Amino acid sequence: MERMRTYILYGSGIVLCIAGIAYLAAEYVKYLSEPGKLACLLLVVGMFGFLGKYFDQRGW
Amino acid sequence: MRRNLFLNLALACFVSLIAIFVFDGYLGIYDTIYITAGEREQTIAPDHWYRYQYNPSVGAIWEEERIFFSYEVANRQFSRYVTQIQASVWKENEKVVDLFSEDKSIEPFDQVTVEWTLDSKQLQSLGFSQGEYTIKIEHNGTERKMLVNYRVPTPPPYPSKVPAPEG
Repeated sequence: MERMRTYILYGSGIVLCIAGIAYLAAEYVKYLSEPGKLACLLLVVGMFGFLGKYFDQRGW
Repeated sequence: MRRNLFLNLALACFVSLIAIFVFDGYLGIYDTIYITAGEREQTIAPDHWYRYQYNPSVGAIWEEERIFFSYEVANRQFSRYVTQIQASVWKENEKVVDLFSEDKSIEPFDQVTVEWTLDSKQLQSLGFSQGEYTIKIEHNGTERKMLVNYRVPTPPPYPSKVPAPEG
């Protein structure tokens, strides 16, 4: 029961963090130029790709 | 190092992402308007036009107050910015008078400030009276609009001079 509560708290915290970052990013993206938006998109793809590869190497 | 190569690359992407947000936000052409009417000063920051839909307004007293405009254009680009800066007064979608027009060449990461004045006597000489006017500022396809509201001060509802008691 204690473990379950911890998971729920951590889960909610992570979801709120991601939602906050997504909101801020969406607000800032409005003011970016078109080449800036494209560069950001490529970097986001690269970031998640490298993170995936990192976790893949660790055997997750 | 090799073990964390992909993690470091992901972090590098994240840092680059933040750098693009900062750098891209900084680059561009930014214009700021400073208005002084009477003793009231007003600054219209460059982000006003992105954040709000309404045109800023300024009030002044007809025949009494002049309105001083100061327009600053900052070129935060790697190339020279050549433009013609124009300011004019409009009423009911028709141009009343040109206030300012000058060609400017702004060096990279430099800025210029131009100034002009709007006097209600100038409008009066053209046959206009108190009311609302639109100030249009243009440069290289960018158009900024402001409203100027000229008013005549209403006299107080009581007599300015109290009559002397009779008898």
